[in-house]
Amino acid sequence: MKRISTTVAAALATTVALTGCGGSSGDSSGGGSSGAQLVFRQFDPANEVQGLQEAVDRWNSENPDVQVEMQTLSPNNIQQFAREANSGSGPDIQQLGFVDVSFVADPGILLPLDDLMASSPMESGPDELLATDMVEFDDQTWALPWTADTMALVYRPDALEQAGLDGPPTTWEELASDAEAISSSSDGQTAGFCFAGAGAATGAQWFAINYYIWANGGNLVEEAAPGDWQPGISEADLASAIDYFAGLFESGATPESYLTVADYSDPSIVNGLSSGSCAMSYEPPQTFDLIDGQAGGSVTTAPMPDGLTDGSTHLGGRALGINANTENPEEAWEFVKYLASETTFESYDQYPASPSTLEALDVPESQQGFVEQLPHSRSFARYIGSPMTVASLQQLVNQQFSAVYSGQATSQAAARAILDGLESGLQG
Amino acid sequence: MTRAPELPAPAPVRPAPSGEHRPQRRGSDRRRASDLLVVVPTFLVLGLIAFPAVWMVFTSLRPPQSLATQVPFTQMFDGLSLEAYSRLFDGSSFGRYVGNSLVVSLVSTACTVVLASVAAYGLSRFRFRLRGSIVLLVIATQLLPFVVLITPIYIAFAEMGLLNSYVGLVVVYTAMTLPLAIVLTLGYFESIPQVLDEAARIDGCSTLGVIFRVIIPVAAPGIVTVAVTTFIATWEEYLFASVLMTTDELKTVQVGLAGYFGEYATDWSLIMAGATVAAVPTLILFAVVQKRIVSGLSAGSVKG
Amino acid sequence: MTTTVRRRAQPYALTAPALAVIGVLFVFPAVYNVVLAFQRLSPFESPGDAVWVGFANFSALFRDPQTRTSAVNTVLWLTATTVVLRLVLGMGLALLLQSRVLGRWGLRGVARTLVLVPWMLPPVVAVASWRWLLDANSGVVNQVLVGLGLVDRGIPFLASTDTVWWSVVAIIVWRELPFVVIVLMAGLQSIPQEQYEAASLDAAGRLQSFWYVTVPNLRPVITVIVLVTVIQTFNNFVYVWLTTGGGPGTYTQVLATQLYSAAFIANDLGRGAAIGIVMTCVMAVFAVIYLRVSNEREETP
Repeated sequence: MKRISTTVAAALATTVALTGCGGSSGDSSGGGSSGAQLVFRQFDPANEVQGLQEAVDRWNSENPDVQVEMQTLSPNNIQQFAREANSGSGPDIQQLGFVDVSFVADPGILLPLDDLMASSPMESGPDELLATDMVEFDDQTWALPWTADTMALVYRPDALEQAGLDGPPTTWEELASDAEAISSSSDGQTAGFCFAGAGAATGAQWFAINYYIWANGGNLVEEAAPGDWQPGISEADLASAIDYFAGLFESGATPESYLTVADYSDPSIVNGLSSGSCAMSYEPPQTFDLIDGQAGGSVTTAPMPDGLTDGSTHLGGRALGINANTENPEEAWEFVKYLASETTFESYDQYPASPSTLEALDVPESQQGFVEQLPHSRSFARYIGSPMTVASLQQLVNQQFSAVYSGQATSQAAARAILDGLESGLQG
Repeated sequence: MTRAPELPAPAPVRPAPSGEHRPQRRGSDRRRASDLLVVVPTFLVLGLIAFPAVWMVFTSLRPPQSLATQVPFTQMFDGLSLEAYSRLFDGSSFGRYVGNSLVVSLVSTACTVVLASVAAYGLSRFRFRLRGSIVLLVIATQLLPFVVLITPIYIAFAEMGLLNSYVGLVVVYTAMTLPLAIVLTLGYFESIPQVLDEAARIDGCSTLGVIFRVIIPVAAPGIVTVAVTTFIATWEEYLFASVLMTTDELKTVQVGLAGYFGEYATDWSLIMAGATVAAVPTLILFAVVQKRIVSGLSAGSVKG
Repeated sequence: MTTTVRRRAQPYALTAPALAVIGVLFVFPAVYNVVLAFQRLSPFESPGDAVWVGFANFSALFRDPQTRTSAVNTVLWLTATTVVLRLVLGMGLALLLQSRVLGRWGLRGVARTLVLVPWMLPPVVAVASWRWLLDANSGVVNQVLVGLGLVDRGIPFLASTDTVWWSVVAIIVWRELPFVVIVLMAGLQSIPQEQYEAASLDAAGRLQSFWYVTVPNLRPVITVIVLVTVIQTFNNFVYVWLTTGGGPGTYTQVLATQLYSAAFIANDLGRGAAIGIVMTCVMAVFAVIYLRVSNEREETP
């Protein structure tokens, strides 16, 4: 009895004592007597954002009456933010992925920025910002586009040279044949094109598939008339897109092992490129930075095939939103403007969503592919507004493409299945 | 209060096979060459079972550039270092996360074991009207996919001020693990004959006294099993920890580990290093506890 | 008089604290989940914004051709195969770890700790380790197979429909085996030594004493194990999702991944709740039937 009751008593006492150690419920800021305390939440892993932390520290030292605490909650959990905002708490400023803004563009969650933008305008006009179509809904601006990225072709010039090619491919057909040439001439030692071929719901082949479809003039879904969404690609075109990617595996341009890779940041791609067992792939700027650091100058970028045509590649990135429950909207807005300014991007390792700011930055030679491509990229806003979420589209497409790679379906059947899925999903 | 009767003398010695003269060991205790037929395959199997964990530790020591690439066997051990571990502790409050998890898991395990033992005793010793329905109710709670519980619980906890506090998470974990704990404990208690209860009561024990001084010690292997299962369940839980503990000081180890997965890059060496560190408390727990799972030969003799 | 009342109240008093904790947390959300199954709600809306849709979620579920595949996968591959394997292998290991042979060499402690190792890895890390071990190109398993000359090139375990389910099963069985072993070990402890000795005096061999002494004594424990593992595995989402995401294609899709996709990818919590209700009903029916059958078998000696 003694032993057990001591344990129980200790457990209870510990719990009670630790209640005092717990933080307060919710994260909403307070107005202290000495000034405003803001909470800014971002979702990149802590070890990737030292530059951002530096920028925040700089703000704090220059603005003693508006102190900002940077909170890291990785991975991105937009539903958590919605949950918190809907119950009256949450951070004052939240980083939002572009595709997530439409879900939280609601007066219960975000504060529309138009009034703030009018009363305290940004230095560069808001019109020149990229991806405004991802943050404007119902004639209101719900978030500020902050950083921008796209997928560029990443390749090893030495591998291309060894296969007798004099430059990166500029069309998709060239990509397929170049990749096959590299694989066969190196006897399988160097893979021509490594991409994430898994059928997972968040699989990265989604980007390549869309780029291919867009380059060939189609769209997965289109708003034929206001409120009326239809598939924007024919069954035949869809089947030939599937054939293209399945063909990469069949010809040996892409090794079979990439059938299970889902992320563009997977070590098999990242280390494949930096070690030389992969010749080409596609990556966003952050990931390329990592590869570049490992590869010591043997990788570089170029625009994706057809990447210099408007709309053939996607424009992604993050925006900044202000919590509708914040007690300090004006201070929050000032901080948001600061985050979007050139000063922040001097230490923060991302591309700003503002072309003028981007021009003022020093971008290394190896990243010129991104810089050339960005002005021509168009966001996924073309898919937003339909009854089907972009995530569902991604899952459907990835699943069906992967079914063909693994021999479970013909490309015609898979194309049919995608169109069926689109039709039933778009009905809502 | 009397404890369970001591176990009887060990089983009678079988005559030793001829030719072996080792007076120190009894016949059935003698090591034989034929033992290797059991020992070697057993440890081969156990080695295979442990291999993925060994791989995890090994990955944490390798340079990040070598992951998922085809490395010839001779080069596999090149460049091993503790670099990922120094990055782990320098760059983040990982030690703090482990501490948080320890507090939450230990406290909720203690609560669950106590509450489950009391409830299981009630269910096992008394045949009362609601007994069947209670057992079914307990099983029914296992049928729910936990994912759907998040929002209602979040809202309720926000109202009650239980967000970002140890208490909130402990309450959730206790409730989550109680059903299984009750069912398991009930199973173990059923095999303990009621004569023990009666003997204890004659000695003047109250019901709670019977539970804690007689039944639990006798059912020690079962109780320890329940405790280990509960601890593991709370240690590896991610969903509620990520929803209820959002400030950096209070994150649990699973949420901390998940924080190394990024949209643009995932630091696998760091993750494996973190997972190795997170495995240490469970390893210590296992090593300490594995003996208690098999102690209590007295239980067997009582049943006879 | 008061003692009798106190006596009768005792079981309720004993079970009340545990039930209160469980009830507070589970009852309201469980009821809410039933309500949700008849609504349409996005994870981004407040519960007050829900729209009533009647049985639409259920009819959509049954009209979806994917549901049949998911159900078959869940029952046959995810649940039945892994539970049977866990029980058989778990029993074998539990017996091995009890054996006197190991005790003679003082290796019991090491062996028992080793068997618990899979539990030390959180599912995310376990799956990641296994995915690398099974990688078609750089995985250790394939390197060994190729090195031994058993295959020409690496087998893409997780990409080929021939091998993917066995790979998922292997991961689940590997990670969840410690639970079965540890529960069985504790159960084996309570079997009285005398029964084994009686059996050996009757000239029973190892197999017979296993069948006629061990198994009957372990029946209640085995019942609990089967019940618990079936329910937990049937509802399980994490292993399949992390390993294959339901792929290749939709080959390894199960009901729990379908639920997650409906609720959090298609942003339709109502549809997810409907799937959850159906899963709960199936498991409830199973639990009732299973318990009734095992109770009957217990009563007949």
